[in-house]
Amino acid sequence: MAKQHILVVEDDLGIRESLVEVLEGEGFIIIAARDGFEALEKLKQQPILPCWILLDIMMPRMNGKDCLAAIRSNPEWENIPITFLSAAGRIEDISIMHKVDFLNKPIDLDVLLASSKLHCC
Amino acid sequence: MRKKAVKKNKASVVKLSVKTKSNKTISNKLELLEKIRWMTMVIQDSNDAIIFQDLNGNILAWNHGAEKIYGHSEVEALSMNIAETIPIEYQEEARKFITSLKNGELVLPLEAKRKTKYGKIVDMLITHTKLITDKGMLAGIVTTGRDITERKQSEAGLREKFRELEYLREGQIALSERMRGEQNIFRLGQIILRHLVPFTNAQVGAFYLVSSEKKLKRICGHAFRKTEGIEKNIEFGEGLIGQAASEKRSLLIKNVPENYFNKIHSDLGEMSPKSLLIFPIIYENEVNGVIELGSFYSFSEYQRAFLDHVSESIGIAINSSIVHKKVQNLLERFKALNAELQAQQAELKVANKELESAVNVRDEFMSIAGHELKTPLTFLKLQSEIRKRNLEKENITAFTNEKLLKMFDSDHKQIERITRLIDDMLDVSRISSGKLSMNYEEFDICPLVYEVVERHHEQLIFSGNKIEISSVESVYGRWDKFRLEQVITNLLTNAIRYGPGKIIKIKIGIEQNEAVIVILDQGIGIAEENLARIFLKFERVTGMEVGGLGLGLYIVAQIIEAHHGSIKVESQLGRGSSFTIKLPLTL
Repeated sequence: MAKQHILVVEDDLGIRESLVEVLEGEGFIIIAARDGFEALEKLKQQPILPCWILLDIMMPRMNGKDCLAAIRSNPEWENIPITFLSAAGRIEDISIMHKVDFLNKPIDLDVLLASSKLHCC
Repeated sequence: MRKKAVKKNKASVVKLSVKTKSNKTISNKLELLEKIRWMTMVIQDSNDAIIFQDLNGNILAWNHGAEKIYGHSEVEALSMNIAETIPIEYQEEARKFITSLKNGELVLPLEAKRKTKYGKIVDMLITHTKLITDKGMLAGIVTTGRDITERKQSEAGLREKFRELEYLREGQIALSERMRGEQNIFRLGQIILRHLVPFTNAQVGAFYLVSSEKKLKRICGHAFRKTEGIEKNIEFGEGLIGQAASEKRSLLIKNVPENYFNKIHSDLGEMSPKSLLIFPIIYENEVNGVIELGSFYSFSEYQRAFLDHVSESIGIAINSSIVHKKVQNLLERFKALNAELQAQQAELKVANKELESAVNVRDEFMSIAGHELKTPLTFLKLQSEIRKRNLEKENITAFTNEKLLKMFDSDHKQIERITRLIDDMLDVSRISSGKLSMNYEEFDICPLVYEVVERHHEQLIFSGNKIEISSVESVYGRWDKFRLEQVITNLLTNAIRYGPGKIIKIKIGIEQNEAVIVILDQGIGIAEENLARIFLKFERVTGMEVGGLGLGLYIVAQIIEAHHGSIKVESQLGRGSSFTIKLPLTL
């Protein structure tokens, strides 16, 4: 089976690297981006669509909410499951809730891995 | 000769009547004669003056009534002309009257003046009857006169009384008109006096008002000379004024003793009034004032009655003025209270809004602080779980010496980050409570700046910023090293954060006994309207969501202020910002 791709969008270097490390350990190929803007750039360049996007909310340049809206406006990307990494629990003012869920910071590793299996296997 | 003529005429009159009945029977004739005799008796005995006269005014017959009214006996009258019973001034009128009678005009009963034998003029109601011959010729006139002198006199009396009543009524109406709508008690008093004094033929007047202490106080006077001590309060029962008030009745003093009353003051000199009229103003059985009028002439009982009468409407007007004043006072107090209340409400609203915005700022701050604290915690938690898993899997390669060193290093950085955030929050709290303590020492700020830049080496590489530092050799001063490091770190990280990939310039120098540090970036810049806000608590003016509590520049400004220095910012949107710090070398 070909390796599944996961897009990780997180501005904090330490968290980003930790996520990459743990998900790579599970056998996924990780595309990492520092903000929403970079995430969109990488999605465009990506020949294989990711099976899952982990998206931080508070980021410079383009935040998670705007990034979500951009992703969902592209028909090719509209069905990619997206999990928000949220420091403030569930965010209520997100209008597009299609295939969107939340993972609270600090992230529980078991929940993260379970989610990855749910979305990508 | 005249007498004969009269008798002859008299006979012909009788004959005249007889002749009209000439075709009647004898018995009818007798009956007729009897009737004529009776009628003659009635005429003769009538209380009205019935006088027959020829066309020249010669009196032909004169009954008892005429004797009684005119005083002339029948014998005297029969030799008189009717003109002798008419006063000279009415004779012309009488002549004209006869002329119109002769001309056959219709003549109604008329009131006329007639003269008696004794020269007395009597009022008469006179009816005329024409005497016509059987040939249709006017032969004479009969006048029936009734003495209406008494009736006329009583009529004239009534008219006079009516006129006076009308005058007083008009006076009362005029007074009411003038008083109407006047709510000021002093002006009201003036209006009343200005009306009553001339109206009652008085020359002087005064108006006393009952005060709340139940004393009479003169509040205005008409042609009144103000004299020393006259303004004192008068007790009820004291003097004539007090007497009128306590007895609730008017006083009419006809002969005022010399020097009793204040002398009337005028250009003509000083004269004492002869007559005084003092009357109480009563409203609902309570005296609320007294009016005093003085005149050179005598006041009549009639005027007194009038004043007693108008005193009621004056009482109503005064009461209404007093009530109006009370209402006005209450209204003023109410208005003042209302204004105060409104001001308080407005203040409360402002305070409320401030509180609300403070709560909003606090909420936003809490959310940002939460996010900022959770970021390093997320890293630490992830890492600890990863390491645990690696241990469980006995993945020895994850724990090489090199990797362990890197782990401790990154853990340390995250712990530092948390510590810094908490320090920032504590600093703000210290600043808020005025407990930001400073430890001043002598040092050179140049190496400190290089140190801070060096510490951000990795970050600068990652963000793609280039740094250019131009500096004098050394700038020594007495400052708090730890706090200034905080300041420079803050400004540098801001420059990196808001202008990644651009050149950052730092200049260090001395100007006028001050250290000057300029940090210039080519970042997004700050809009002019936001420049004033950036040094305030919890302010992050960019729309971009970047890390940090929004406390940095606030803390910076506070630290600079504690050093008695200054911080200025110049910025152009899209072009970059430049922060200039000036610190006195010695405190």
